[in-house]
Amino acid sequence: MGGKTYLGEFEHMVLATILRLGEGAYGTAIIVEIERETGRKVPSGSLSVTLDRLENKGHLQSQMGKADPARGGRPKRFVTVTETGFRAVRESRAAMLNLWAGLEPRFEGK
Amino acid sequence: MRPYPPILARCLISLFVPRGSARNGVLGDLHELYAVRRAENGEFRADLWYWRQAGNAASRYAIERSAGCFRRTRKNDPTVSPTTKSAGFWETLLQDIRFAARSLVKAPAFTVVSALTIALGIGSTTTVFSVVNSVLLRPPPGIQNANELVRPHRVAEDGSSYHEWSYPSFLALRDAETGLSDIAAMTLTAVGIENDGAPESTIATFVSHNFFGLLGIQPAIGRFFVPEEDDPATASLVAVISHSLWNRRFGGDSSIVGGTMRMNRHNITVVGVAQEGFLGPNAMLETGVWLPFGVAQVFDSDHDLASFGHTWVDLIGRRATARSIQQVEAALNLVCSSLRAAYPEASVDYGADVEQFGPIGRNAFLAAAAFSLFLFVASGTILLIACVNVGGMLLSRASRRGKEMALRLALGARRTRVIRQLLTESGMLFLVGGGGGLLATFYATNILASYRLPFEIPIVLDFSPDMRALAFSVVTALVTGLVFGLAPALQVTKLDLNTTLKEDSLASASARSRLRSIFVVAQVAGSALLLVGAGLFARGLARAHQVDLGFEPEGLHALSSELGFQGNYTNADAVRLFNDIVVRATALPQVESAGLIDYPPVTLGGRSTRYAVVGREPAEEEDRLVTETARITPGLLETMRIPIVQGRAFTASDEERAPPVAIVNQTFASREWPGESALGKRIQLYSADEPAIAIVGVARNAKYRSLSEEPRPMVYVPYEQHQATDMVVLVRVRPGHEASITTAMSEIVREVEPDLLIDANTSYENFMGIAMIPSRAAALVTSIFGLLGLGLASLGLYGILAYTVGQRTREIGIRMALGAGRGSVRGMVLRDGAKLAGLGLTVGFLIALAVTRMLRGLLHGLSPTDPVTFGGIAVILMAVALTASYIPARRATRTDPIEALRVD
Repeated sequence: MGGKTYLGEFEHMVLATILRLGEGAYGTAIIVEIERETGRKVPSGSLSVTLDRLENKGHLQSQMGKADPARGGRPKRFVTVTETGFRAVRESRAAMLNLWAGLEPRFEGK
Repeated sequence: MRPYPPILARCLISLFVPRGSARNGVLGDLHELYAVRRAENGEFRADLWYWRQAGNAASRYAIERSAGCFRRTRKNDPTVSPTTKSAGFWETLLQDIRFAARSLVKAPAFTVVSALTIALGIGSTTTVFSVVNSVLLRPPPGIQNANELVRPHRVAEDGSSYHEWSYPSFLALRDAETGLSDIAAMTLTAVGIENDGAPESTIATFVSHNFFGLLGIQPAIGRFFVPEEDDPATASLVAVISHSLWNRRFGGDSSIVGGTMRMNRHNITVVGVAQEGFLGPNAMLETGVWLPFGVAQVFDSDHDLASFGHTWVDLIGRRATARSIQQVEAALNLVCSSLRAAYPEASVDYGADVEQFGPIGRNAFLAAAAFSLFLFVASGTILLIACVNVGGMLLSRASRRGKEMALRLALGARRTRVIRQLLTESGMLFLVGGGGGLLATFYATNILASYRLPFEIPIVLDFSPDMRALAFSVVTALVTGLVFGLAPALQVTKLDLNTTLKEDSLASASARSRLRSIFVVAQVAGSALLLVGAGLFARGLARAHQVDLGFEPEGLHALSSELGFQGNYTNADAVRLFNDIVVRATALPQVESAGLIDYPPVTLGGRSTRYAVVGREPAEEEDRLVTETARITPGLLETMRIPIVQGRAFTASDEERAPPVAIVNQTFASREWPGESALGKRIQLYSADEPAIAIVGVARNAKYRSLSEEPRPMVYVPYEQHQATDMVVLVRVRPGHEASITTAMSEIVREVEPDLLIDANTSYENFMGIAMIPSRAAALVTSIFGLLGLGLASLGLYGILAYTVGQRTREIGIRMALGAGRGSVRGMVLRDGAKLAGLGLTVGFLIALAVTRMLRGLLHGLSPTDPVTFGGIAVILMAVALTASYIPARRATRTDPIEALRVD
């Protein structure tokens, strides 16, 4: 494998949202937050697949909460961004910012 | 309100999303979001949304997993990969599974159609299994270590009939060393609960104090019985109630313990509530009230706890460790014989027959087992047709992959290795189908369990599949997968490498077509069998409506109440009460006439008794003839429209002290006095000690027990001269007033006796519906299975025949190039199809003839070899088979011969 691998768009979005939510980040909260901030409806299965992938890559750590009757007895899967994950977001962000540099005026005004 | 999202959608998620954090996350998140959606958009739209989410999760994870397979095993085909030689069994299996998954995903249409077909087959057998399991096999809820439990039956001297025990025998058996760690007694009865609100009848069971401990049941609150409560001398009026009665009737209020409940016009102290879910020792039948044996006499003064002659209790025992059923039986018999020696004058119970505890009693078990067998034959036939369908598809698929297989063999794969790989593939396909079948079972059993009987009996139907049903479906899937995968796998790997790589070999092609022919024959035979069953039942039911009953059920209304179970009513009370109801009913403007009868005809009941003709040589006890009898009031025959053909009807003057009289039916009269008048002749009912009864009238014949019965003799006797507590009020309603009669009748009952429990208050046709339940159920089941089988078989026939004709395209091309006409080629193809279908029909009909003879009782007099049914089904199946072969034949003859020859 050569070069860096950047985060996918959705992965990027999910990691940023988890960082925004901080301590209490888990499935439903992430879905609701993404929809509020971007208008994008995220199916639970897609989010879960992405969380699994990010966790496999070491970008995330997940931890199960307590059994919750409001969730049909299922515990919450709390997620936090790891050091690696944080680096990956930073690199993706930097790459994006580099690309955007100089283009801002064309978008800002309109 | 159902708080949970749709269960099938949740199953779908669980099937695909790996357990642990991912599944907990998805199911939990969706649960939260579902609750919000449901509150905002209502149940339907929330369900819809949930299904979409479930579909998304399933497909995302399916893709993720198969992609993972690819990533991890980016190796060569496992059958020829050199690594396999050193690989262990499990590793090889894993490789095979991955490879099979990939090859199934590559042919989505084939995979989906065959998995759905298998799901239908396995779904129907698993549904039947679940029902049979919950009725015949699964111990009723709450009972601990049911495998140690036994039911000792009292066996009569001839060893053939089974009876209840006497209470003193129970005590003797309990105190003896019998290899049972404990033994308890129980007797079922019915009671009416009267406090607060509408009276309700429920099943009550008298039990010895150790009953609950023996079964391993705990009280939810309060206590169970103590030894003093077994004894009438020390027992007070106490009861334990079931958890569901407690919730339903007392709102789950724990102050009921120590409080009183009104039952059968007694105040009874409730001392405890049984464990939640505990129904009693019988599956399906729910006991609401538990009473100690010490109070039995309060409810029925006939109950005698000291007499050896009064046999009325059932026993249940728990085997001590390391004691076999045979040892227990021998020990119990020893006790019985020593009792007989000790009390020669008391008629002590003869002996014991011990059997393993089952959820239903012995007699019901045999009937239920017979019906289960019938259900298994029907659903097994569906499974067979489905498997044959998929077997045909696998065969076609395998033939298409002939070159692939040859290539593998040429590259050094052993034949067994390739077969094993193909079997893994079909096994997997059947497992996926089995999973779908299990989902279908969940739905089907839910629908079945919601069935309600048309009368009030506390029956609990719980058919939900358990681990046994799951195991059943998995084993069925694997076995059928291996069997129906093996034939194609063997066929396709039995190749001459050299020729196959070049061209399809003729020898193996003909072997394959033989296998296909077997498949066609099996499908036609299977669906013929199912359709004959369905056709016979449907025609039998139609016939039931045309049977001459001998009375007019239209416009007749029935009201029944079993006073005998409500205690404290003497026969005289009952006569007064019922006569009062009849008088008031006759006075209603809607009513023409009314009467009473103890066993109304064609409602699954009846009473037969022996009789003798006065003045004739008394026959030996066992040779004495038997007749139906019924107690009726003067207006009853007129109300039922049963005409008197000779003599007179009963009148009000045939009362208790008047000379005893009877009316016989035509069958009785002509059997005893052929060519003579029966009027004035005298008979004795029951036994020779009874007073002689004079015959005053002859009534027309009617059906008494079932629609299919041959004419039976009947003796009607006046109710006043033969008093009883359990009667049915029948009312002839004036046309047009059917709607208002139900309320009018219940108002009358409320005026006469407010606490009286009404079992049924409905039209006579509904009332008779009870008698039709077995044949209706059989007709419904076979129709569903028959249509399912016909659909599957038509698809399968078309698939196989179309493929066969497709294979012959080259041959057809040659024939046509040599000058054969289209018509003659089509005729040839049709003839081949017809030959196979005819063979299948013959096989199916032969099996049907053997099987349907056993169903005679459900056919209402229709012959089990009814030519209309058999003929009709032959025509239908022939038409299906001919259509299935005609369409591909037409396609084949339309192709240009040059094109056809160029095929391949």
